[in-house]
Amino acid sequence: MKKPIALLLCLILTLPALAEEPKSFTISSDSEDAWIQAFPLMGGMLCRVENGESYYFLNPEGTEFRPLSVSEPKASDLEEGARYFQFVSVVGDEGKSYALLSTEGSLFALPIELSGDSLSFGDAVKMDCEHRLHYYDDTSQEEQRAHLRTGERHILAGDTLYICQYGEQSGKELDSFNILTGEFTPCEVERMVSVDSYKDGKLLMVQSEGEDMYAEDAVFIASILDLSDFSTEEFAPLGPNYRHYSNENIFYEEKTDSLLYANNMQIYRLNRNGEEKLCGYKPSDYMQLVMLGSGQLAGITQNKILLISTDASKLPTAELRMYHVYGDEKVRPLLSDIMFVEVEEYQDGVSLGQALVSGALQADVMSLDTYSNDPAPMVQKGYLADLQDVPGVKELMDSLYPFLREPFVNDGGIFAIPVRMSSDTYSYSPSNLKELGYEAPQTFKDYCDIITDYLENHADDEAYTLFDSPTNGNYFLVRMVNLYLKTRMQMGLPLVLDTPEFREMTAAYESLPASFRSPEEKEMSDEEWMEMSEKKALFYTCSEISPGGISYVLNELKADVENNYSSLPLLLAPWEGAPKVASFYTEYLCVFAQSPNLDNAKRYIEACVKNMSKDTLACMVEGFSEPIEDDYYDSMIKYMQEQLNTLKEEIDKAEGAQKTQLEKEYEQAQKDFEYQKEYGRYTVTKEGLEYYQNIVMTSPLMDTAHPLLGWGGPLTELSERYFGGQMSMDQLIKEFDQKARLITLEQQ
Amino acid sequence: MFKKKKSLWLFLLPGLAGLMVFYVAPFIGGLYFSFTDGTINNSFVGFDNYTRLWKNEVFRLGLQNSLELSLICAPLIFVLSFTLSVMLKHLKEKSLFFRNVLLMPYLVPTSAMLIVWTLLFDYGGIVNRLVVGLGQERVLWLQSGAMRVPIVLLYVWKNTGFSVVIFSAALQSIPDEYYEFARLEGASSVKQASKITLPLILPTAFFVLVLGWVNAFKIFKEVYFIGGAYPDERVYTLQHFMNNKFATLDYQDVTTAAYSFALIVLALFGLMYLNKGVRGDAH
Repeated sequence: MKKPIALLLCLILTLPALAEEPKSFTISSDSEDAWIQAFPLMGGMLCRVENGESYYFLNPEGTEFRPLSVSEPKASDLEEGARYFQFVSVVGDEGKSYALLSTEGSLFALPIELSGDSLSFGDAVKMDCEHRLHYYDDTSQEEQRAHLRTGERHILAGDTLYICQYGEQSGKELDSFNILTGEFTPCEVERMVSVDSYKDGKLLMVQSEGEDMYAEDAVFIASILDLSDFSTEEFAPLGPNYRHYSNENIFYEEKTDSLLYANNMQIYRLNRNGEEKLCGYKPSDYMQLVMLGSGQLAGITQNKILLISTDASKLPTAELRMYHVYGDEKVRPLLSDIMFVEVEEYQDGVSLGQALVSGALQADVMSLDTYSNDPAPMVQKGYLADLQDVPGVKELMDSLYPFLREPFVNDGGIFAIPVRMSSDTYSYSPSNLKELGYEAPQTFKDYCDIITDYLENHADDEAYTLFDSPTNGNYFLVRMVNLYLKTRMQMGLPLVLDTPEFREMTAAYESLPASFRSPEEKEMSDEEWMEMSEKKALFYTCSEISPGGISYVLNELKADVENNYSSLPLLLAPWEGAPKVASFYTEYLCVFAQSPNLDNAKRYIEACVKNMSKDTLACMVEGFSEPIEDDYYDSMIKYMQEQLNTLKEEIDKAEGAQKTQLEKEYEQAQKDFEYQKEYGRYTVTKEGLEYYQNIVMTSPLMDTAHPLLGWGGPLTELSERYFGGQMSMDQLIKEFDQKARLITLEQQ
Repeated sequence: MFKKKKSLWLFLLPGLAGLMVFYVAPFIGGLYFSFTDGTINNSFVGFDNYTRLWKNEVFRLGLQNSLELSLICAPLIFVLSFTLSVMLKHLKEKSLFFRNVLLMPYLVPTSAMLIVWTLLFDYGGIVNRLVVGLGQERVLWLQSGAMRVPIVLLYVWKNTGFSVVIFSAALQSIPDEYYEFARLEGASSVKQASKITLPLILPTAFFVLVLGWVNAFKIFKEVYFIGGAYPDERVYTLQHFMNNKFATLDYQDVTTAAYSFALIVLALFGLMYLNKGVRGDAH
């Protein structure tokens, strides 16, 4: 008899300690990336999917999640001429609920009622919030437009709507409106940071104590606000875990008489004694939370609704310390038994290296980039864990371009995986060049010839500009040297300038007009910038090198779309016969070899590999051949069709000049719609992939922080002296080579 | 007696503890590092780091430049500070004022002085204007090997005052009666200096020379401020090498270079210390 009782007791005692998977519900949608808004409604949570395509409701107990049938109001019903509205929030009190919808210049409150599976909207009441209109100049339409600031937090107390939002002074302001009439009354509250409903018709708010809420040592106090006279009673001071700039809401938890707030993924509970404890965890920093009537928190990640417990005993048992890791919102929720903790970052690569070697680094998983943190020393010295036994890693690495793979492998081991690529290169506009009779330059000399010819023959043409932003001789010289050195690096040649090829390049450079080679930095006013941005540029100073970016441009060129910004990467051979090098720097994920959480870190890496986006794979995988469809294609087509229909209706009702204007807009909208129908299905097309693989990736190079390259190295100082007249180009070459020799020998 | 010794050790303990923690322990730790391969397991590699380092041309260049700079600066400071302190001794009461004036450069932060120095020796600065005025071409004082001149001048100007103070204290400890007796015996000033002054201040002179030499060996921040991590080859010092290696996480080369330098200095001064006079045994 004793044994079964003992067993039963053990079971009862063990059960609560078992880490539970958080409860979740999935919203069926065409896409995992569907945009879902969540609002509190009648103690539960209302979910609005893809701009009103579908609605769902989670009950207050968090046990039932059901679709709703909804007939949303039209924008034109709210306000004449409005074509769309924004669903701002849902507020409720004493059994009454209202939806807050805004058009471009107005805010409306509509009573909403949930009856069974049906949600209905009542008549709209306009709020008097003209003081929240923000005016700006729309240069494309040459008119002034207004945009309404609709606030960050909305609370209903009786028949009064309170909106908390950024004001002119430090901190937020509180507006109040009679929700039945729309009448506005200002509230005397200062330095507010966040707010939530309290009890007895009061509000619980967070205020900063000093004027400067962004100061390092800013202090924040939670207070109870009595709305009858705006007097405050201190609730408790917030501790060091509170981050006011995180834009997270606060929640009042009545059952424990505490304030809940989130900092990154950790949820803290602050009680009246000022005691602050970690009580919950959400798997994504960006997950917005809603408090249910049962006291649970619910949030949305991807197309899932997760119930977040605030019982500290149910916190994930495992922990992973993350250094500078971001962009993994899809991955973390998959590892719900792990609590991800962000660790403080070091200022630079040297400090990080010191911490690695000394053992001071408190991180398990790190995200670094090759430009700031050359992986070679860390790989060679064994500071990174070998990931070759992690499922999927070897297959991924084997499929990558060799230049992407090599920095992270050593002696058969795999020590990091690349997750993102970036580039810093010029681009050119094929259409704008063609208009002026130029071919795309192939070599540096061609490039200089075009610049010279343009400055001689087209400099006065107001429709065009050579570059999209001012450039000076110094900048151009450094770019020229970097182009030359990177090519030599890619070819495995020594990094010296004193060669016939570089002399050829300097001859081409020195043939450029003196005005172009001037080191003077031009200060531009806002008007000048605006003017420049409206001109057709031949060359752009930065470019995205990716199959997606290239596909987009190729589509526009095919469709002959008039667009000032269609540009392709400008890859130049520094001299005739040299390869055209595209240089990239890469972000990579790695695991600290001395991490005490190696198993979980490797699980994380596995999840990252499995969930790597197709766009990233298209950039990194050699021979990637699958065009990538746009998940939003169908919804965009539907939306654009609706816009066309609305415009047509308005044209039918309009007269005179307004009708003419609307007809112009319809024509443009029609063109955009046809373009989207024909070219919008794929974000990465077959042509884009071919261009990327055959033209861009013929000679790729990994950009690491080589002391001779980039900005801030010896070249910067030498070029300043060159432009200061202290040395000739020959002397520059000589001194540079001397330093290059020092650097090369030092690294041996 | 035992009580006295006990209290003596108690007073010494905090200082000794600090010495152990901040000097001795890191010294031993660094030495250990110089014999390992720098991987996470820190495997012992014997003298491989040392042999590899001494084969590195750039290390030898840095060491050579550091030696040369120290061979110029240390004797200059020594001679200047000794001469000045002897002169100050003759000024008697007025010497305090001048000693303080000489000490001022030592108290000014180097970075502040460097800003002034770069203005003076800039391509268009006062020094070059003088040079041009003398009919010569402008010199790249801050960029070429000529950087040695402003560096040496700055270093000597900044550090002479401190050595003057040390020498002055040593000179004052020599009883005047010795010089009086020597004068009465008919000894010239030169003979007084060589037979009385120098032998009696030899330990202090040795100290000043050691200090000056070791500090001169460490000339770096002045060159780094002006010339960056990779200045002209003629002013690329051992510290540049160590600094650049540190930036690339190559701590083995840093420690190996540091201990190589320490060994050289120890050997040099060990040899000098063999001299009885230096030890102060002579008199």
